[in-house]
Amino acid sequence: MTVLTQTHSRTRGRLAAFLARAFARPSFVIGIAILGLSLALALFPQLFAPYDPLAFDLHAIQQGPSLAHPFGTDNFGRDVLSRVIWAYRVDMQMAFFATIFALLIGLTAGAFVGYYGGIADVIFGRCVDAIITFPFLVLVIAIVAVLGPGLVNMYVAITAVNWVYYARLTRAEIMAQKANDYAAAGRVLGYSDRRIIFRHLLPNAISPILVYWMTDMALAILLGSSLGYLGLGAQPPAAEWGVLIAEGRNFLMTAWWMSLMPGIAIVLTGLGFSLVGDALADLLRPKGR
Amino acid sequence: MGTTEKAVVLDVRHLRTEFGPQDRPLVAVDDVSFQVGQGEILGLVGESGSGKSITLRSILGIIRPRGRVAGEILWNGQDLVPLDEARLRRIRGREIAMIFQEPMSSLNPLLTVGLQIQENLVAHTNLDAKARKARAIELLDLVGIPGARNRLDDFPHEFSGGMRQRVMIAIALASNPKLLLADEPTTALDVTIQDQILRLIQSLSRDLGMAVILVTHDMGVVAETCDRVAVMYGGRLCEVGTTTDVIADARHPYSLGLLRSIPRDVAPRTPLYSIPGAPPALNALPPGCAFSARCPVAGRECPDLRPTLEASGSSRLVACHHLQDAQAHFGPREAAQ
Amino acid sequence: MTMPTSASTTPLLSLRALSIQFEKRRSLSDTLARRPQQVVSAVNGIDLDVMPGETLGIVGESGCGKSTLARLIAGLHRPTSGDILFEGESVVGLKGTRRRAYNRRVQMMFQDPYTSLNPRMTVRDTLREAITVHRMREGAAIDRRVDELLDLVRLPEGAADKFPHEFSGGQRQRIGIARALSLEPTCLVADELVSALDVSVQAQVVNLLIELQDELGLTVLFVAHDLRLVRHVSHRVAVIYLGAIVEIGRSEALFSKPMHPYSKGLLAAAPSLDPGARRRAPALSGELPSPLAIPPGCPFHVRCPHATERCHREKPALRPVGSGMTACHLAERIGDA
Repeated sequence: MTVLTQTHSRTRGRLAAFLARAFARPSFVIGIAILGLSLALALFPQLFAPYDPLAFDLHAIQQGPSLAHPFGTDNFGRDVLSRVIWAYRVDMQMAFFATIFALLIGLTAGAFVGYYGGIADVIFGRCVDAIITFPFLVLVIAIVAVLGPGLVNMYVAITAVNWVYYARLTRAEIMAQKANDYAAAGRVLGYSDRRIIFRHLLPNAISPILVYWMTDMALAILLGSSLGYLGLGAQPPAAEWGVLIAEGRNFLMTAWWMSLMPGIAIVLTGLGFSLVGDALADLLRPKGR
Repeated sequence: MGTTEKAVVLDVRHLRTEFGPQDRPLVAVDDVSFQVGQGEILGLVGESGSGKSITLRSILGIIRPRGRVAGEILWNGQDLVPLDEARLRRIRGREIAMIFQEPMSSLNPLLTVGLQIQENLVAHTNLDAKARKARAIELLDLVGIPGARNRLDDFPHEFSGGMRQRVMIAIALASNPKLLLADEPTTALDVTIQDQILRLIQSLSRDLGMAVILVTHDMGVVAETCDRVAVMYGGRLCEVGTTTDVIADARHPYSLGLLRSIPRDVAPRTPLYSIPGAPPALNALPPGCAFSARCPVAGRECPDLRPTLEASGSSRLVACHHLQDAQAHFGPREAAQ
Repeated sequence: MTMPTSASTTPLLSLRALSIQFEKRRSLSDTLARRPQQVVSAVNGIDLDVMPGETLGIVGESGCGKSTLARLIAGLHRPTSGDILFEGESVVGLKGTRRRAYNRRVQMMFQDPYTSLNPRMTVRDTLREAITVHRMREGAAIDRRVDELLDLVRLPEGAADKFPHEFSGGQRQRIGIARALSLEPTCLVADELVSALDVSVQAQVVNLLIELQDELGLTVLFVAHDLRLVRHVSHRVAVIYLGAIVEIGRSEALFSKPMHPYSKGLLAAAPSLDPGARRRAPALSGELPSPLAIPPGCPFHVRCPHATERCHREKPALRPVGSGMTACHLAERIGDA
């Protein structure tokens, strides 16, 4: 038992050291601050939003930013700030759900073909070629068009295309790790393939994939709001940044804040993911020998 | 060091190369002095981190990451240390040439071998195009590449490792250098190929009167190739002498230990002499003798008091406070074998 | 210490006409142009018996197939033809439990100290994993065994909870040895165990290996290119050229009087520590032919100074010559020369 706790405290020491290095980077601190705030807004919008995001106020239609409505109001008198805040819930969800399944499927498939190679790898290579020759957005739109609009269908569509990118990355990383002798050592020690893949290769291969995941979540928000804007993603009256921008597009001259404010939220959140991803890429880079 | 009968071409005095911040520098080469005579092959031996390669690179001013070089490097009487890049370039590649451990990464993969030799001829000779081509063939022939005429238009990847090293030597020879710096030129090669390259370097040195500094970690390579040897440890010289003398009768405990740890004339499967511990990191060197932490005869003063390189007998320099103890420690074993 | 009496025991491990070929990946243009599939013959019909308790040295130049042979024996490759018998039973293509059982008895140690350990696992995790997967110990005995193993390979206390990057190259190789020993194997395959280490550290690891072998009664296949080391640790030695054994015999006999011209050249090319024994000409000319196109007849004839017309035509079989076996038509004549 004492041994176990020792190992534990050592691991904790390492984590502390890692966090200390991370927080010494301004980009990481800013990124984490943005993401932390975004998460808080997504989890507890009711604590932050001053108004009900769906409540009409016909006395306050399309008012510019003021103390009462810092982001102004929309064409139904709804408070834009509250709608942007409630949209965090939808958009942060999109960032997560549009990528997590792609990540999991891609990791498994990529690890499998990267480790075994052979005919599975050849078939995989052809699939990848076929999928990535289509423009990403066009392919996703086509799938949503078949399945019908809505958030869940959008997740399905994005995952169907996006997993390929994770799989390709994972395959390359696993193949690089497999060339190391510790993988051969594992085989000589009689370990099962599953153990070698998941306990040895994947932990060493995963850093660049996690970094990619971070930036991909930023892209997922952009993609999700694009689809929302086109009416293929989240459906009105739900508050989602792409939907909000679409609602404001007819009033760009008269009520610019309706589109600008959610636009800023998109840029800011995307920036948060990118900063954290960049910082992680530097931090997780293996130390020199 | 001094008693080479040949004229001294390179005289390195108190060379010091350091990296990193001024106040807490990493000293890779520390107070290293040696001379190389005309047509002489000097071996610079040491383990990883001993500063042997940095010493070599300091001579040409090509250390990376950029370090600070102090001391004097007298090339035919001219000090190379204060020279600017442009003046250094006139000497580099022309009078002093260098070859490296990895012949593949030191050749341009996109240019034919012929072009790469001729490039060097353009830079350092006045030959016209036709003469350059003839000279390139001559050089490839000189370094023992079969069918030299037909190989001018080949790319580096069409040569084997040993042949690439020959090509590197041909390029280096293009300017008729007076000194060849060879940084572990055979470490990446197999023994039979290593043997071929070493014999080539030896014959070129003899026939062209070219001095050579050969950096290696292998005492065997020194024994078979070099006229004199300088043993480095932790960025400092610990012993300098003629190869025959040092191999037969090493004085410094490190040279003694290194030679003793190589199996020769010992009963099979008996324990080899081994130097305890591992080579030190450059940022963890004691103020005194760099070897003191691993030395079997180190006294209390050794970690703090730095031994200077002093004459021990004729044509031998050793830096050790305990020469007698070292002889006594290693001596009986020698007798027992 | 003593040479096991090979006559009285049955071999622990037998290779029977063992061969492996790798198909070179064909590019699309090759396929379209209907160029034939290129095949690398890495190991070509090797017959070998390894006696229990002996150390068999396997030497040759890079690309000769010695590493592939080591990996074949460890079960990392599947032979194209031929058989591997362990205690009389074929172990080719084993799966699942039976394969695990074989690998518990036959373990391997790798050359590169930097890539052969999982960088994200502590030494304790690495050893615990091997012990638990094979149920070598249970419960608290596992950690006791980890300490025991680290003690066995002379790693300092407190090493268990460190990560590989916190160790020197020599220490990492000790961890690799401990990992192999954790399964209490009968046979160890050491693939260039010390060639990546500094000379002063090599002796430590070699001493450890010999000690452990004598203590635990292990059979060792010592694959290396350093002839001095192979001579020191091996009871018997096999010399490999282009994937085939050209000579095999008792270590002392083979090294003092090699019979095959390749063994002769290899021994002469290895740098000796005797500056008096210098040669002007290389010991062996030419280079190892590509394993894509092994010459017909005796594979060595293109480099052999003695080759006759028969050697171009007819491949010599391994046959008894002197005290060992040699694959050369002219062994008697050359060996006595």
